[in-house]
Amino acid sequence: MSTMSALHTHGGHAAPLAGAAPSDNYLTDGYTWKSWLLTVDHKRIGLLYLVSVTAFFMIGMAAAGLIRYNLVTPSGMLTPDQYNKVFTAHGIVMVFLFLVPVVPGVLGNFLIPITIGARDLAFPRLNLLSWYLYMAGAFCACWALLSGGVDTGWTLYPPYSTRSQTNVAPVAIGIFIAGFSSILTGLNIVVTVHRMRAPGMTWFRLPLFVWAMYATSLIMLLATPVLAVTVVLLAVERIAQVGIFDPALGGDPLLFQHMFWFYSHPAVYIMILPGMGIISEVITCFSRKNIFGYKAIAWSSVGIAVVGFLVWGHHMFVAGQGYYSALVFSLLSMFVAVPSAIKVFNWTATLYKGSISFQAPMLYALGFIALFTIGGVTGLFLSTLGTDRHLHDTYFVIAHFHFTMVGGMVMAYFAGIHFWWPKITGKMYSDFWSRIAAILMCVGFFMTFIPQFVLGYLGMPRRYHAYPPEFAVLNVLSSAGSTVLGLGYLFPFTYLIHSLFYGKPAGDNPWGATGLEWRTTSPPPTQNFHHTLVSTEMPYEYSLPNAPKPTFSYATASGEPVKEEKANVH
Amino acid sequence: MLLAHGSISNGICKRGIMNEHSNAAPSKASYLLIYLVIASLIFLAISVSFMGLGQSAVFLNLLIAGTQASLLVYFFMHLKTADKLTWLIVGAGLFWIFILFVLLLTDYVTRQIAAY
Amino acid sequence: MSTDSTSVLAHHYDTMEQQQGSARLGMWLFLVTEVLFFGGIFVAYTAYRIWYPEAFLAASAKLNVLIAGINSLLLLTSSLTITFAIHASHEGKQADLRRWLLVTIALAIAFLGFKSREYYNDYREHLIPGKMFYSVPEGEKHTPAQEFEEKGVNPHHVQLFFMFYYCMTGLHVLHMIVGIGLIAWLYILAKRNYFHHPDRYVYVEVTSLYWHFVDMMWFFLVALLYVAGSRQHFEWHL
Repeated sequence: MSTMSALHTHGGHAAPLAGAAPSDNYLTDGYTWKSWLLTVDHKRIGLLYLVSVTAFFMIGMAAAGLIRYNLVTPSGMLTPDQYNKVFTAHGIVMVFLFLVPVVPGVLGNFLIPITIGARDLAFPRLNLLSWYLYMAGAFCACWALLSGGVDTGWTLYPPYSTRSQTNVAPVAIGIFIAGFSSILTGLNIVVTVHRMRAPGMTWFRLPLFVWAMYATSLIMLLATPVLAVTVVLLAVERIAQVGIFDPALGGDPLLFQHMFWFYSHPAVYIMILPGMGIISEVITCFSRKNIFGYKAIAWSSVGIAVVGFLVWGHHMFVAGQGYYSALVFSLLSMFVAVPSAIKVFNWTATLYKGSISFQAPMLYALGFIALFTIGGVTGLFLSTLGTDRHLHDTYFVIAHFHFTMVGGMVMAYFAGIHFWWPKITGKMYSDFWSRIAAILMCVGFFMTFIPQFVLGYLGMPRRYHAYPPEFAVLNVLSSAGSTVLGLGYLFPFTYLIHSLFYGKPAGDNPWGATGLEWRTTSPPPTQNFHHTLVSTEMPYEYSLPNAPKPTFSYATASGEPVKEEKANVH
Repeated sequence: MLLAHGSISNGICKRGIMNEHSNAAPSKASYLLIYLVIASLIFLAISVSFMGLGQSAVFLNLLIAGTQASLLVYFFMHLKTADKLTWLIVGAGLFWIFILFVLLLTDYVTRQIAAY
Repeated sequence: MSTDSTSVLAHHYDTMEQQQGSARLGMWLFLVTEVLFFGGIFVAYTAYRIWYPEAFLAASAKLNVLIAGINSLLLLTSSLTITFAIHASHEGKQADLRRWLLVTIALAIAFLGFKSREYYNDYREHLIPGKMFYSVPEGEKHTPAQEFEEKGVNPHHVQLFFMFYYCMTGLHVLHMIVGIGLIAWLYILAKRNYFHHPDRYVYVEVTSLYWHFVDMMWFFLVALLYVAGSRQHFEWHL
């Protein structure tokens, strides 16, 4: 702690911190259990999230595997009750325990302070509390899902969820607790971005990843409390059976849906916005070009966050909502596509005449642009009242949100992990295998979910454990694709862990990227920087003569570095 | 990338109520005055239920509660001397409540009229 | 800034202003989440009140406005005293600070005392949704359900009102208990001379922000729940 005082000297160049040897970094700063489980270092907390989120992702993937396994034959391989429990588990684990917390928890925690030139988030202990809340909520939910299960679907609609004999209450409690993790993380990020930016780091010099995380945090703060109170009312109704959502007693099941989707629609933007932020970073670096339309992308992130709150009724078009209300929501849903489209156009324009290379992060990013766009435009079919009448509750909806969530968000997450892995761990992974994995994932994804658009159009309902025999071919194709996709997911797990032990040292800036995180060592020291910084440049200045150069070669197929990487001297 | 040190100058004033640059903190007497105003509104609020207004009482009820809340936030919570960001946050809170109420209640007001 | 201040400055902040500003900003943002939290249940209540106005107004008339009024005054006064506590802390007046914090806690506990009395009365009158609503209270001839039916109002809808009444006031009570805990913690810290550094007044201030919010929610609860219905005459019993 006494070394921190060196940072408080005024004026001129600050000397490197006394006693800070070049090999000291946040990973070597303490090896005990306590130093990890009671850490307040945002980087270590990011790694705690990485390990736990990966574990829950695997549980969610296992559930997905069971779903596709069941759908291999028209009569279903599982019993209807088992199938109900499996798709509910898949939804709850993937939405609440993976997609919502993953980027804010892992990459947001790790990167935001570094990219804005701060030493930590605004409230480090609150950050640790967020992780413990996440773990508590996740354990509660997983225990409920694995010991007996829940058969209501991840959306927990009453009146069935208030009468179902399954473990609805502990799942609801788990979601409630995990929701607070989300709220506190969002709070931490907003205060950090407002108060902890380095001198000279104005709002329009922030990396777009930070803009995206800021917008995400706004949604986390404003939407999650409504989910919390909805789940409380659900629990009360389960205990008291007084008719809050039960039509037989004067209640309205649609009230639950209104309140639930008030959170859950903005929640999908919580899931995708960080991914979009990652894509902005990766696209610029691997086309060696400034982002096209920085302000447009920055403002569109906030735009998505705001407009995303106005559209939730499109989940309830056939549920019994008033026609006038449905019209309003349909119109507003059209508007929310605009800021997303702005981003896709700007990314494409960034690629134009760029010096593009196809490392793994870029392959994931390009896959994202293609798959997210397909997912996004299919959303318009769903927001149109007439077509939604036909498509609601069919596989078309499932394909739509998997294209955006998996083809979009999960791809973006992998892009981010592959992009920042050298910074987080100080090691490089296998270039060859990472590219193979990316391609395998894209191919597997297509095979899995394109048939589902067709199935939905043809009328196959979702959440049914059996289906008419004429849908068999498409279902088998989809299940086969899911095997390829699953294989694709296994690859990074293998080569990334392999890189921890056998990977080449990455050096400070292997990709030659701009951004403050690349100005410090890989892995960074505990206090993030060896010196304090003043920001004087715009982000993404790849075209300037003194732009950083990559230290890993694009040309060699084996991924061997062309020249010796050396630590960038500050 | 220059390496230097300076105190954080985010351009956002972080004035609290006790900053030496701001006006002197409000006196106990002024707080007491606001207290009395809000207290009298409590009596008014309760007496509304004896006015026999029926269903339209709710507008008066909410007006009174809104006034009490505004006085509390402006004076007791020091919004009066707070920086622009705090005002923005209060505004955002109100706006989001507005979204929640208006868009959700639209269904409840129009459902019987325009069933789908 | 005196050398005292640097010792209360956390390692990741550069100036005291930054640290204090962050604490305030954090609390204001948290209060917005609380507004949305209460807002959720308020909007649910409003939806049903739009659908069942007669039942809700009739049910509201059964609530005790005397206790509500007393509680409003108690809570408002506690808002005043906690504001005095902030000033005491900033001026370094330790004894005053402790006194005002204690008074605030006492007023809050008094609120909870009256609230318990109120809940007990509701229990005695069987104004509880579920089986009790259909059983005759001691000393009465009719069940609450029958009473409301006689007034031409659907007892299911009345029970819905009472569900919201308990949930909303219950959530409020939970928030008060947390608030009392926070203020008690401030008192303990004050006893340990934590507020010897005047810069630390900001922690009393952010706690007071939370406390004022709890007060504000109470005013809206009174407006929506207690004074919705029309009453003939004021009942002076507790």
